[in-house]
Amino acid sequence: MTFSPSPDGMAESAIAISVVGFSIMTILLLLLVLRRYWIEQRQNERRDSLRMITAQLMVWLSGDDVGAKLADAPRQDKLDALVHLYQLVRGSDRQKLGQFAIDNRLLQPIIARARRGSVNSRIDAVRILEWVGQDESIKALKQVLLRDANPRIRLEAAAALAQLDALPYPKILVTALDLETTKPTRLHRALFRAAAPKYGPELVAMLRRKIPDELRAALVDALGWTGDYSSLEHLAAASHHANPLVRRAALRAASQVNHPAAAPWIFALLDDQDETVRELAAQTCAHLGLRKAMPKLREMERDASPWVRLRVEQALGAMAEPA
Amino acid sequence: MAKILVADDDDLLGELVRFKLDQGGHQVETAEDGETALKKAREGGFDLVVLDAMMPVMSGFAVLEALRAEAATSALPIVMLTSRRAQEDVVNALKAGANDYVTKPFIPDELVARVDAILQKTGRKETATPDS
Amino acid sequence: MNAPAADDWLVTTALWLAAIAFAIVSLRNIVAVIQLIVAVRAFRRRVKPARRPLQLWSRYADLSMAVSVIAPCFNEELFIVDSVKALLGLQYPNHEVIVVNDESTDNTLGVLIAEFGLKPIQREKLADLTPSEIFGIYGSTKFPNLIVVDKANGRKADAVNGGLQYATTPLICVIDADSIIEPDGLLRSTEPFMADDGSLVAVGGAIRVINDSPVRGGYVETVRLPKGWLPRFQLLEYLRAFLTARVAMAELNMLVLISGAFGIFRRSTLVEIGGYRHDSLAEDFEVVTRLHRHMREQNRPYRVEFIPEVVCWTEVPFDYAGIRNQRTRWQQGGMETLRSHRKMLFNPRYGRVGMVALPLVILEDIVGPPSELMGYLLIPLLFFTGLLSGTSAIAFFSITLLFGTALSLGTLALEETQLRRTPSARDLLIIGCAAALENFGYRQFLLYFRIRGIWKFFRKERGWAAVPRAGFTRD
Repeated sequence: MTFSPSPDGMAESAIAISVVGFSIMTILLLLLVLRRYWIEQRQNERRDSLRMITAQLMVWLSGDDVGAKLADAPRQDKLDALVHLYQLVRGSDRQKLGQFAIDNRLLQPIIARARRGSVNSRIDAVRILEWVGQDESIKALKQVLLRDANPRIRLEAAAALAQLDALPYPKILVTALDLETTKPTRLHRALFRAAAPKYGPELVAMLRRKIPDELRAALVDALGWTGDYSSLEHLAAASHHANPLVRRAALRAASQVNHPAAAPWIFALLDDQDETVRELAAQTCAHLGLRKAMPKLREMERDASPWVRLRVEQALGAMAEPA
Repeated sequence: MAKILVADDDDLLGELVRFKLDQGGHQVETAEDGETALKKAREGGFDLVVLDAMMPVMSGFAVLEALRAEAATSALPIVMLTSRRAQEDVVNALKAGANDYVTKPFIPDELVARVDAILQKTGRKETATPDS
Repeated sequence: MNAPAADDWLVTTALWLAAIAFAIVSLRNIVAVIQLIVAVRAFRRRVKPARRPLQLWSRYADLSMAVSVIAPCFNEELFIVDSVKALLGLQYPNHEVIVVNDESTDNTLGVLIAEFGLKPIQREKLADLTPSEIFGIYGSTKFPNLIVVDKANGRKADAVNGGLQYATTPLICVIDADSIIEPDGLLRSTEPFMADDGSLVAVGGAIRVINDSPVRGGYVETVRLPKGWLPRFQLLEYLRAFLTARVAMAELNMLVLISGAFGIFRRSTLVEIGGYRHDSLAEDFEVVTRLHRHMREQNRPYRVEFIPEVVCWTEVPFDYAGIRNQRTRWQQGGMETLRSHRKMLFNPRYGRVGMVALPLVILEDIVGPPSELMGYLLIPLLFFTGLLSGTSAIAFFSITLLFGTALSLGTLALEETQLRRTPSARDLLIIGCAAALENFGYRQFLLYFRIRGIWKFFRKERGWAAVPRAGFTRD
C-alpha cells in the first residue's frame, strides 16, 4: 500500500514556505535590532540637543539674548525640553517658560492634535497641554471637555483642568462626564474636591436638586474641601440621609473640615445601623480628637461587627497617646 | 566660589541647576546616580552636595545616610532636592542630617539663595577648602 | 504491496494518530497566532500610563484604595530586612505591609523584631481562612504600616491566607517572598481601580526575569540580560506568556491566571471565596479560576484585568533540576485545578471562561503535550518504515519550527516597539537568536517535564517536596 498523508508536492511547498518564512524573520529581526541601535544613537544626540536647549532657555530666562541656536532647534525637542523644565520649576520662571511656548507657537500643533487624531494621540496632547498650562491650553482643554465624543478623553481633559485649577462649574462637569447616569468613580470624586474651593455655593445648590445618591455622596465629600466652615451645616444635613454612602461622605468631609462643631452629629452616627458608617464615625472621632466620645467608644469595643471593633480599638489607641 | 556636587538622574535638571549655580559664581560637578555621587563626595573637594531622593542604583536618602555615617563627610552640607513632598520624607531627611530640603517643582533662585545661606552659615562661602 | 491485515490496521492507526497529533499541534499554533494578533490590537489601543495617579494621590491620598502587601516568608534572615524595607518604600500613598513568618527555623523573626522594633499587638481577625495556629501578631514601633504575623508552618497559600485574615484594606497585593516589585508597581497595578465602578476584582501585571541583574536593598539596580541560555529561554517564555497570552486573554475578558509572583485582588471577594486553597499545587491558577466560578455562579458582574507594564521581577530556576521541579508542579497543579473545576468546562453557565478559556488550557496543557510527543515519535517512525517520504517529514518539522520561532519573534517585536525594556540592541539580538535556538533542546525538555507532570498526576504522586517553601530561592 502506498499512502502518504501529504503528497510530496505539498510537502515541498511547505518546506519552501518555511525557508522563505525564516529568511523573512531573520531580516525582520535584524531590522528590529538596527532600529533599536539607531534609536540608541539618536537618543544620545537628542540628549545633547535637549541639554543645549535647556542651557539656552536658562540664558533666555535670565533676560539675556539667545542666539540662533535655540531658534533653529527642532520644534519637538524644544517642546520636550520646555515641558520637562516646566515641571521642575515654579514661580516666575514657570510663567516665563509658558510665555516662551506661546511666543514660539509651540502649542498650536498640540492643540490641533487634541481636537482630532486617534484616541491615543488626543490623550497624549491633553497631557502635554496639562503640563504646559497657560490660558491657551486651558481654553483648548475646556473645549475638549465639552466637545470630545469620547468619554475617556473628556475625563482626561477634566483631570488636566483640575490639575491646572481651572475646572468649570460642577454642573457643567456633571453633564460633560455623564454623571447623572453613570456611577462616579474615585477620579470623579477627586475632580469635585478640586472644584470645591472655587465652587462651594454651586455644590450646595446642586445638592438641593434631585440627583442620584452616588453623585450626592461625591458632592457631599467635596464639601469638605471648600475651605469654608459654612459647609458644616450642609454636612450635618447629609448625616441624616437615608443612604449610608452619603452619611459616610459627610463623615469624610467632616474629617477634612476638622472642626469640633460637627461633633454632635458625628456622635449620633456612632449609633448608626450601618456598620461601615459606625466604623468611619469612630475613625472620624479619633481624627478630630473628640475625647468626649471615648466612653461611647469603649462601649463599642463590644460591637457585633469585627470591623467596628477594629476601628474602635485603633481610635482609642490614637486618642490615648498624648497629643 | 564654592565647589558643588549636584546628584540627579535627570540630566536636564542637572543642566538647569548647573546654570543657576554657575551664575551664582559656583563651580558645579554632576553625578547621575547615587553610587557615583557617593564616590565623588567621598573623594572630597566639595563644599556642598545637592541630592535628589529618587535616583537609580542608590537613593538620595541612602547617600545622605552613608555620608553622615563617615567622619570625613559627616559635616558636609547637603541639600535635598526632590519631588517627594510627604511630610515624613521631609522630617526623616532632616533628622538624618540634611541641611535643607527643597521640593520639586522649585524656584531656581530660591535654591541658589538657600545654597548660599548654608555656605555662609557653615563658613564655606569664601574658603574653598577641600574636605578631607 | 501485499501487507497482512494486522499490519494494515497498525499502519492506519499510526497514520490517524499522526494526523490527530498534527491537527492538535496546528490548532495550538493557530490559537497562539490569534492571541498574538489580539495582543497587538490591545497594545495599539492602549492608553499609555500617566503620572496622574501620583499627582492626584499626592493631593488626595485618601482617595487611593489602600493596599495590603502580603509577603510570606520562610527562612529569610539574610534578605528579609532589605525586602521589607523595599516593600515599605514602594511609591503608594496608602499601603501596609503584612509579613507572614511561616515558622522559619532560622532567626527571621528575631531579625525582624530587632530591625523594626516589633512589639506584640492585639489585632482583630476579620476572617477565618486557615486552620494553622497563629503564634502572634507584631506591630512596628518605627513603621505604623508594618505588621508581622507569626504562624505555624504551611505552604505559601496557607501563609497568604494567614496574612489575609488580618488585612483591613480594600485591596490585597499577593507576592512571592522573592518577588522584587518595581517602585511604581503598586501604583500602576491599582490604576484600573481608580476609574472602576466596583466590578473589578483582580488585576495581574507583567513579570520579568531578573537573573544576573544586580539587586541591592531590595531594588533592581540595572536590568541586565541573563548570562546563561537557560534563563534567556525562560525570559522569552515569560515575554510570550505575559505580553501575548495574558494580554490577549484579558482583552477578551477571560484571563484565568494571575501569577503568584504578583497579583492584586479585591479583599472582600478574595475573603468571600475563602482565600487560597492550601492543597493546590498551582494555587495562583486555582484561585483565579475559583474567582470566576464564584462570580459567575452568583451572576455578579465582575472583571479581571491585566496591565502589560512591568510590575515585578523574579528569579527563574537556573538549572534543569529547578525547571523540572517547577514545570512538573505547574503541570500537575494545572490538571488538578481543571479536575476540581471540571463542572465549568464547556458549560455555558460559565460564559467564555467555561466555553473558551478553560478549554484552551486543556488544549495547551493537557492534549497538547502528548500530541507534540506523538509527533516527535511518529514522524521518524513513519519515515523509517517508509510510510512517510523524507520531504514530508522535513516539511512537518520545518513548519512547526517556523510557527515556534515566529510567535517568539512576534512577541519580541511587540515588546520592542511598545515597552522597550530590553537593555540594549545587542541583547535584543541575543534574545532573537534564543527564539530560534530554543527549538533545539529547550522545548523538548519542557515537553518532557510536562509529560512527567501528567504522569505524576495520573499516578497521584503529590511530591510536595518539589513545592518551594514560602521562601527565597536566592543564595
